[in-house]
Amino acid sequence: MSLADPPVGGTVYVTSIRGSGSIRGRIMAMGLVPGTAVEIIRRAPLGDPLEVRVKGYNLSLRAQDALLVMVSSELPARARNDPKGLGGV
Amino acid sequence: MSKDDRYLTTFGGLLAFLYLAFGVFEAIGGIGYDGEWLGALCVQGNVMDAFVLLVIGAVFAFGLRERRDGSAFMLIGMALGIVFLAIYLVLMGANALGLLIFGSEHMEGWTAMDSMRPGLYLGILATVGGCIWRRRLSPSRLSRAGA
Amino acid sequence: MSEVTDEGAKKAIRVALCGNPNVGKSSLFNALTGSRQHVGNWPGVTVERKSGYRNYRGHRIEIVDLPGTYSLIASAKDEEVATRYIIEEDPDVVLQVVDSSNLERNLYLTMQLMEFGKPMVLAMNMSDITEERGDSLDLDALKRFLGTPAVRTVASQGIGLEDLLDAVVGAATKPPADRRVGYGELEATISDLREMIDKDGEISSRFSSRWMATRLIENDSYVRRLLSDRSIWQDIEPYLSRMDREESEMDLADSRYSVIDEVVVLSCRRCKPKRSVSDNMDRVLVHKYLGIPIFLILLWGAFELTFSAATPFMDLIDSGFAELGTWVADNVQPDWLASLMADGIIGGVGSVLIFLPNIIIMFLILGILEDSGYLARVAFLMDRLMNRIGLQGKSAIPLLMGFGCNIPAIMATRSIDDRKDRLITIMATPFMSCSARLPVFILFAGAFFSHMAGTIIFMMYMIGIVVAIVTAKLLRTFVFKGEPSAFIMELPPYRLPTIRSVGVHTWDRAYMYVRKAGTIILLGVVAIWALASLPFGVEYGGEDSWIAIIGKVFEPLVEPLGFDWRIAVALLFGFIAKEIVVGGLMTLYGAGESEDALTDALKADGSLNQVNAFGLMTFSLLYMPCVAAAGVIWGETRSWKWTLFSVAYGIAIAYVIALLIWQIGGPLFG
Repeated sequence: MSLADPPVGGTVYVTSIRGSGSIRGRIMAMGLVPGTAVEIIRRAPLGDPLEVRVKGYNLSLRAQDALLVMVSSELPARARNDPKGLGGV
Repeated sequence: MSKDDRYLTTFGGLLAFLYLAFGVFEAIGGIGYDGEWLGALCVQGNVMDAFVLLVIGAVFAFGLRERRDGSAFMLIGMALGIVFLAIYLVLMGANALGLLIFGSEHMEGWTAMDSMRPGLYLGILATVGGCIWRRRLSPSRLSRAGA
Repeated sequence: MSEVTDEGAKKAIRVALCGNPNVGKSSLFNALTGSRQHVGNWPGVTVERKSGYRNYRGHRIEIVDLPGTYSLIASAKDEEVATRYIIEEDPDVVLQVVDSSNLERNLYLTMQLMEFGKPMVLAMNMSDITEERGDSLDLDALKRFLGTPAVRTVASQGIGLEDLLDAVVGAATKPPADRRVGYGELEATISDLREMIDKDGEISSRFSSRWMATRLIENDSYVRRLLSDRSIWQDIEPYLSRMDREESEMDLADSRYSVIDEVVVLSCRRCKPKRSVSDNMDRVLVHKYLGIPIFLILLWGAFELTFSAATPFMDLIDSGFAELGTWVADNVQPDWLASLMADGIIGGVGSVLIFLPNIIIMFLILGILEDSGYLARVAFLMDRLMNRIGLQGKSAIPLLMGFGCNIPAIMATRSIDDRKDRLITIMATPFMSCSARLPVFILFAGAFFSHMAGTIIFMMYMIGIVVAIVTAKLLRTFVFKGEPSAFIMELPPYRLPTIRSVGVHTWDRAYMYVRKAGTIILLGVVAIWALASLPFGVEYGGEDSWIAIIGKVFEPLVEPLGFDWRIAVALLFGFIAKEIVVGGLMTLYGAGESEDALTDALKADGSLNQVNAFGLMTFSLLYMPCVAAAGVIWGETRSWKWTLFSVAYGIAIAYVIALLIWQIGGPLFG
């Protein structure tokens, strides 16, 4: 399901981001990346946009943009195995 | 619920009632109903004033309905009451200033009481409440802006 | 690199100041550079360039304030500014302002900045909030892990500035730590791309190939442009199109956040996110039923304050200038000089300054709302409505401000980050009826519609709003079709605005208004004075003056609208500034003593009736607001094309509607 689906008050986890281009890049820069917890706080009085809490701050986005964020109610297993971390190159 | 909260809730209820009531008075004054008692209460019959009073009253009213914690509603309600008190005072002052600068031909026989309105004295009541419950409503936890 | 020679002479240290929006970057910039600032423009884009300097311990530290951004990846020229500055102008130090109470997201930009390989310093700003919450940051751990010094600051109170400057000076003289994010599975792809890039000796000697490789994966427009006409592009392009770009982009972002998670764990003690007072307040301020009504009453309160509270001051200024004018007329010889001073200069300056109380109060209120964080809530509340007409939530504020004065309103569109949204908002705002148009409405509505005057004026406002909405819709549908915008906005925690920051903002903006509007209006008024007073000895503004001649030239153009040459002249006046239309009419009708005299003169004029009065009001509502506004439009769009379009479009709409009013309404009601 997408971020537009879960009810207010729920917490979901990002699984992937659809779409392409700058909107996608922006969504990810704002912290909506796979594995992140997102809490849906409210919808605006007129129904749109959505207010969510991610990475410790509050973000608002429209339902049409939330459709690009695929989520699930279970924490996805960490698929990436290669060691990351900081190194000099 | 602590004893202190009970007083706060009652006060909130009082303010809700007063603001809503006077909002209705201003509204009927605005429609054209002319009653002596309206004048005695300094009701100006201004539709926008009515709206302001009704909204502030609604804020307090909704706060009463909150099961969890209505203190934010109290805070905002009082803040709005204080804000409009300030606005109405400034307006009164601007009128007075106009009188001072241009003399009484500019505004015939204006007195301070002409600018008095329910939003003003109810706002004083809200300010008093804000002072009493200052700590409970914790404005100190707001942080300083840096932007 | 800054060098210290044997004699101890030091060169300037150039610092690039970056950070997310809302982190207090401007506060820090102001605190560091004070009055030693210069505002200009980045070439080719609409972004404002602020630079300043500070002398510290014998060093001259030059700071360039880069636009706030969440990520350096660019998809349009406006977004490339930060990257281009760092790459092309090679600053000595990159100073990032970080909101310490929001560490995770802020560090995303840090990860990207580190890839430039330049000396970096982190200003951990808003430490007061972090400490109040009971969190504490281990800055040494941060420094050890990231390799960059992190200094605790509270820019709004001037705390930590010296330590920060020390760190900057230190960083400038040492080689950078050169830590980069490791991208796990993507490293193979990155190596492939690097191999291809390194074949171009010129490019790879100037820029880091690793940096370019990662940017290519993320489809950054700047790097694409750099490489797309090189020969290596032949190999790179097919490689990129074969990749699963989407998957790779996510991997990149994911890697960065993995590193960030580690950083946060290592350096943040007791960093539990708490439900703050802000969220509690939002329950009321963004309440399903209360949210919008609260906004409406605050809006009304703001307008009441701006208009009513300013009135005595405006009257004071008005009478003050009138007195001055009379004194000059009595005491200055020769007559033409007295006239120049009284009607021209004093009148001109007066018409700018009279709106100053208005403007200052409006900026004050705007500053408070902005610094407190409430404006973001307004955008949040209004977005749905704005979206329906082709705009977004942040457009609501400039549009509403337009009711006060278009000039600061258009300037306020800067907060809209999407270029298309910003442009459409700028095109729509001038139709919001500003306070300068009111005197014309009051005059004509009063003269020709007596008891209905209020309603008529209200109709003017409505017409303006409707035209603004239609304009926005049209632009969105036909000019920008197929280009969706996203509304992704941070809702910062509520903060108590400091007198200092609000004061500085208000002063800045008021000063800009006086300078921009003031100069143009003054020049315009003097020009009009000249046209009205020449040829020598002619009656000021009378039938034989040059300005009347010009009006007569325009008369055939405005005849279909039901106007005569005097109205044409008044409209020409209004071109310069709406404030002087009424004064101009007084001159033209020889009713300079008072507005009542003018009202009588207008009513007595057989050519004016309700229909063309209405048409005139509509015309003056819709045609280009004033030259100063056009100037500000140019300043914000940096495009002659759009500025001229705005002016021409306004005049065209005004003409057509006034035409319809006269041609249809005349026979019906005349």
